[in-house]
Amino acid sequence: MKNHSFSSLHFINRELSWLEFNERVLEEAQDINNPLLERLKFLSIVGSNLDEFFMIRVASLQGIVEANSVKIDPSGLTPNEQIERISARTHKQVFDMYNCFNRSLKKSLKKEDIHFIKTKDLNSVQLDFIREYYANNVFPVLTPMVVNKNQPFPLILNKTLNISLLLEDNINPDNLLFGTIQVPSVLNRLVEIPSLESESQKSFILLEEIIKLNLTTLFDNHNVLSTGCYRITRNAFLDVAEDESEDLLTAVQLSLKQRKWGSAIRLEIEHGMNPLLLKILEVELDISTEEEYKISGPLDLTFLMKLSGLKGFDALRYEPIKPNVVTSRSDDDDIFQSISKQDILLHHPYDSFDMIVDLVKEAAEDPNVLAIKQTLYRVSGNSPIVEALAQAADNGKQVTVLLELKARFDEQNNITWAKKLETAGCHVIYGLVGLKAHCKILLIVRREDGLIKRYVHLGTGNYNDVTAKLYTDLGLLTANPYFGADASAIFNTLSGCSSPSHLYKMTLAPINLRKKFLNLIRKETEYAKLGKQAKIIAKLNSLVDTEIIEALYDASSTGVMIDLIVRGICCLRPKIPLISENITVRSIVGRFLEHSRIYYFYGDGEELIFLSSADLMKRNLDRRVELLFPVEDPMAREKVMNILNLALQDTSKSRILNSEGTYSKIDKRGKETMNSQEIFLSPLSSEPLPGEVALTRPEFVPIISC
Amino acid sequence: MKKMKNEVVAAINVGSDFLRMSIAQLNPDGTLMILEDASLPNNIGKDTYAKGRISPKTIKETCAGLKGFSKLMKDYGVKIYRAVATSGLHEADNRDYIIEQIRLVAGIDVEIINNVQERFLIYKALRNYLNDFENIDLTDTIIVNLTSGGVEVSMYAAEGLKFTEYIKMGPLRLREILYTLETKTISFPKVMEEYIESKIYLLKPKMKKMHIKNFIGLGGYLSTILEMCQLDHQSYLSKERLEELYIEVREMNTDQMVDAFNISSAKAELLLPAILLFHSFLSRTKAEGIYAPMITNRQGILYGLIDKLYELPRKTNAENDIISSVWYMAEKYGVDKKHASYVEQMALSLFDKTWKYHRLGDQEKLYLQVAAILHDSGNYVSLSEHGNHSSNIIRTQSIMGFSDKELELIANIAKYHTTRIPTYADRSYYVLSHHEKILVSKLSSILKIAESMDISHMQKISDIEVQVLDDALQLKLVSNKDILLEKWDIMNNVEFFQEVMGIRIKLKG
Repeated sequence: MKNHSFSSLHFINRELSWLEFNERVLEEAQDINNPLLERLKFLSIVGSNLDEFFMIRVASLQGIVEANSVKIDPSGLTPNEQIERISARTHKQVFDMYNCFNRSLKKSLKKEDIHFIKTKDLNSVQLDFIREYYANNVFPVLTPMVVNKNQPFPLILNKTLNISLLLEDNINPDNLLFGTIQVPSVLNRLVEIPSLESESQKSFILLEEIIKLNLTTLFDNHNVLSTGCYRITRNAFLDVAEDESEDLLTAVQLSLKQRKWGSAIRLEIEHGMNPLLLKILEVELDISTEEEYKISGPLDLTFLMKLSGLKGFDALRYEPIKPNVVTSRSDDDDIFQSISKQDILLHHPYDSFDMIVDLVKEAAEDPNVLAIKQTLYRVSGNSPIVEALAQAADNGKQVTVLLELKARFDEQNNITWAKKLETAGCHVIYGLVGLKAHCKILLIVRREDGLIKRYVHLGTGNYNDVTAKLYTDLGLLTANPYFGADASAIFNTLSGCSSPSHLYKMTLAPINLRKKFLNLIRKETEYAKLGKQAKIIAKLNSLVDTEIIEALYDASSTGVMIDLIVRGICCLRPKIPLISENITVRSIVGRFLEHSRIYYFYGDGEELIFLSSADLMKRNLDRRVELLFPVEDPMAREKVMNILNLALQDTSKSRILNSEGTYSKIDKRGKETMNSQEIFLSPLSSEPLPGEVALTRPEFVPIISC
Repeated sequence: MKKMKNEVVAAINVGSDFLRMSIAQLNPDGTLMILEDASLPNNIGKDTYAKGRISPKTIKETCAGLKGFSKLMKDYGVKIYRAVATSGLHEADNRDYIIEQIRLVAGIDVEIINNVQERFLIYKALRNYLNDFENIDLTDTIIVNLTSGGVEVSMYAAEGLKFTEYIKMGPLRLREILYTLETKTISFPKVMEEYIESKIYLLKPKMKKMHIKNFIGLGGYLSTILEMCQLDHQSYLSKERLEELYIEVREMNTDQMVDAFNISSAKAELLLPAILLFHSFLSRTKAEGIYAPMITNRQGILYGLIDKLYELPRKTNAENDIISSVWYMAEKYGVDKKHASYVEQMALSLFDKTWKYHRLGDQEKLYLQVAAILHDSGNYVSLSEHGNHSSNIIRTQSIMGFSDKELELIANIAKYHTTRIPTYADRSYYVLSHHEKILVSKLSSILKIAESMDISHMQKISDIEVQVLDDALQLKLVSNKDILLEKWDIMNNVEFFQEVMGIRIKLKG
C-alpha cells in the first residue's frame, strides 16, 4: 500500500510544534491591532499554557529519560534532545513574553491610566494603605518557614508563588539561614491601591511586593539580607493505573492528592536573585540550570486574566458577541418539532449554545420524554446542563450520564458533579477502564403518539456553556432514525449494557475510527491514481498520528490536493518535494479558540463531510472514545462547506506552516484582509452565500493533462 | 381487539454464549421496529457443557448484565417483556438458583425453554421474514439451525413440516467435548469432522430420501461465516464459496484462523465446527447454497408478543407446522390414520360445541388436537396398556412449540382416552397443579367421547349435534348405520364428562 518509506526528516517534533502554537498565541498578545485587555488575556494564556505543557509533556519526557529509555520520536530526536530543544525554545519564548509585557503592554496600560506602581515610587498615602492592608488581610494568612537543623526544607506546592529569604541571625551574624514564604493563593494577586492624581486613574501593586515591604514583622531576631520570588512547576503526569484499581473514583481522587508531590521540573526565579539563595533552591529542588528561568518581571502572568476583567474600560475589549438564535425555529413549533423537520447545525459561538441548554431543560420537563443520555467531559462551574439533568431524574426520567473523571485538571470539578447527579437519581458512569470518553453525544428518547422517537445531538466540543462562548465548535441536532439507533448503540456500549454493535452512520474510536480515516484517505488516493479529481480538507486541533500523516503523504504524492487547517500541533511537514507538495497547512489563532473538527473528502464527486470529536492524534484514535459522523442534510452541508471555505480564505489570523516547521503570516499584498472569525460574527454570515459555496456534483470530470 | 397502542416491548435471551436483548416498538398492524439490540458475551454454555453447573463468577456476570438490560428497558418504559433461557441454562444443574438470583438482582423473570420451544420462536420469526422479504416456498426445504449447544434440522415437503431432529452437537459443545484432543493431533479439523459424521449418520438416509432444493441456515455463526467470505450484510452463501472456505479452514489451526480472517481466537474456535457442520449438511442436499436470514429467537418472541397483544390471526402457519409434524410422528408409530383423523375432528368439534362448559382457549384446543392424533401411538409398543405407552411416547417427543410442561399435559390427556379416569394413584396426574388437573380432566373427557364415537374404527357417525335441553346437554349422533357399540361406549364415558363439566348428558340417535 505504501509508496514511500518515510524518514525522520519528514516529521516535525510535536513538542516543538506545540511551542510554535504557543508562539502564535503570543503573537496575538503582541498584536497592537488587538484590544489592549484582550492582549493581556492572550499573554496570560501563553503563561498558563506553558505551565500545563511543563506539567504534562515535559514531565512525561523527563519520566522517559529517568526510565533510561532512548525512545526516538518520529522526527528523530531522543527524549534528551527534545528536552534540550524545548528548553532553548521556551527560554526564548519566555524572554519574548516579558518583553511584550514590560515594553509594550505596561506602557499601553499606562496610556490608559492603569499603573503598576514600583515600591520605590509609592507615596505615603499608598504606603499607609499597604501597611493597613497587610496587617488586616495578609499577615493572618502568612506562614513563614525557616530551614535550620530542626526544620528541613519545606514542601513547596506546585505552581505557587513563593518568596525566598536570606536571613542573618542578630545574635550570631555568621549564621545565615534560608527562609521561605508562600504568597497566599487565597488572596488576590493584584491589589488596587489609592491613586491620587485623578478619579479615573487605576494603580495596582502585586501581593508579593506588599509582603516584601513588611518582612520585618515576620522574623524576630533576624535581618533580612536578600529576597527573591520563585515558583516551581511539578510533574503532574496523571496516569491512573486503572486496571489495578477496583474503583476508578478512588483512584482519581488518590492521584489528585499525589499530584502535589510530583518532582520539580521547572524553576522560575526573579531576575537578580541572590546567588546563595539560588544555590540552595537548585540543590533542594534538584533542578538543573536548563530548567531555570530567570524572569525580568512578575512571575506567573496569569494574574493578567484578572486584570483584563477590570470593570469599565469596555473600549479596550472585544465587542460582546450577539450569538444567533437559530431561526428555523418558528413560534408554534417546539424544539423537538423543529429538529424533526430538518437537521440543525449549530456553529458556536456564533450560534447560541442556549439551544442545547434549552433542549436538555425542555426534555427534563417534557412529560413525553422517557430517557436522556449524555456524555460530559468538561463541565462549567455552574452548569445549567447538569442542573437540568438532575431535574430530569427528579421528574422520573431515566437519566444516564457518562461523566469522564479523567478529564485533565477537571477531575475535582467532575467528581463534585458526579455526586450531585447520583444523588438526584441519575445513572452515572465514571468513564471506562483504560479509555477516556471524549465523544460528545446527547440522546433524548421521547414517546410521541405512542411511537418512540429519538433525538440526537452530536458535537465537536464539550457540553460546557462557558467555553461554548469562547471556542468555535459545531453541533448537529437530528431526529434521523439511523443516528438515533447509532446513539443508542453507543450508549449501550459505553454503559456496558452491550458489546459494540454495528453502527449505521457513525464511527467509534477506538474500535475502527483509525481504519475509517485511513480508508477515506486511501479511497481519495485511489481516485487520484485514476486521474480523477481528489481533494481532502481537514480542520482540526492537532495532527500528530504518524500512520495518518504517512497516508496523507501517500495521497499527496499521487495528486490528492490536501488543505489542512490545524490550529495547534502539526507534525506533518508540508511542501517536501515529491512527498507533501500538494499539502497546505495553516493555523488560525484569533479571538476564539478554533476547536471544531471537520473532515472533507471529495470522494469522486460524492463529497463526504464528517464532523468529529477526534483530532488526528494517536491518543484520540486508540485510547479514547471518539465519534465521527457524517453531515447529510443539504443545508447543514452548505454551512459546513462555508466554514471551511472562509477558514481557507482567512488572511488575518491565518499562519501558513512552511517546511521548516515555523509559521508565517499570509502575505497580504494585493489581497483584502479577511478575518474569518469576524465574518462569522457578522449577522449575515449565518446564511450561506448563494452560489459561492453551492456543492457541485459533476458526473464526469475530463482529464485535461496527464 | 385489545387496546390499540404502540406498545414498546422487550425480548431477552439468556443464551449459552451471549445475553441478548431486543427492544422493539410494536405496531397494531403486526409489524415491529427494533429500537435496541444489545448483546453481552457470557460463559453460561462454557460452564454448563464442561461442568454441568454454572460458576459463581458467570452467575454474577449474568445478573449484572441483565441488570443493565433492565435499566435499558426502563429507558423506554417497557412493561411487557419475555425473557427466555436456552440450552446453556436449561441443562445446568443449578439453574433454579440462577433464575431466582436474576429475579432478585435484575428484577427479570426468566423462563427456561427447551430447544423445541426455541425452535417454535425461531420459526415464528422465520415465517414472518419469509412472508415479508423473500419469496421462498418451504417445499423441499431443509432448515438447519445451529446454536452453541446443538444443531436442529427440520425438513419440509409440499404438505408441510415432515420432521425435526435435534442433535446435541453445537460448536461450543463440540469444543468443550473435544478440546482435549486438539493438542494430540495436528489434523484436529479432520477428527472433529469424523465426530460430526458419526453423530449425524442417522439423519443421512432421511436426507437422501427427500429431494432438498432449499437450504435455510439459522444461528449467529452464519453472519461471521459470511463476513469471512467477504459477504458482510448479505444473506446468501453459495455452495462453491462455502466449499472454498471449508477447504481453507480444514487445514488451519485456531491461530492461523485468527490471522487469516482477523477474528478473535474465541470466535475462531467455534467457527471451525460451525463451518464443518454447515458443509456436512449442505453437501447432502441438492441446494445451490445457504439462505441466511438473520433470524433470532428474540424476533420470534417479539412477534409472539404482537400476536398476543393485538390478537392477530397469524397463528395458523405455526400451528400447521405443529400439526403436520405431529402427523409425521403418528405415521412413524403406525397410527390408524383414518381413525386418528376422525377422533381429531370429533374432539375439536365437541370442544367448540361445549365451549360454554369448559371455557378453554386456543392453546388448550391445540393440546387436545395433538393428544387426539397421537392417542393410539402407544399401540406401537404394546396393545395392552396402550394409553400409558402413548403418553410415554408423547412425553419423549420433541414437538415444536411445546414446553416440557405442555408435553406432560398432552401426555396426560392422551393417557385417559380409554375408559380409565384420572386418579391420585396415577403419579403423573397427582403431580399436576390443581389448575392443570382440571385442564387434563376436561380435555380428556372430551377425547374419551370422541374416541367412543369411533370405537369400531369404522367412522359410522358422520356428525354430532349438541343442544341444551333444560338442565342437560343433548348429544345427537348423526348416522345411518348401526351404532349400538358406539352408543354403549359413549355411555360408559359420559359419567366422567358430567362430573368434570358439571352438566348432565342425554344421548339421542
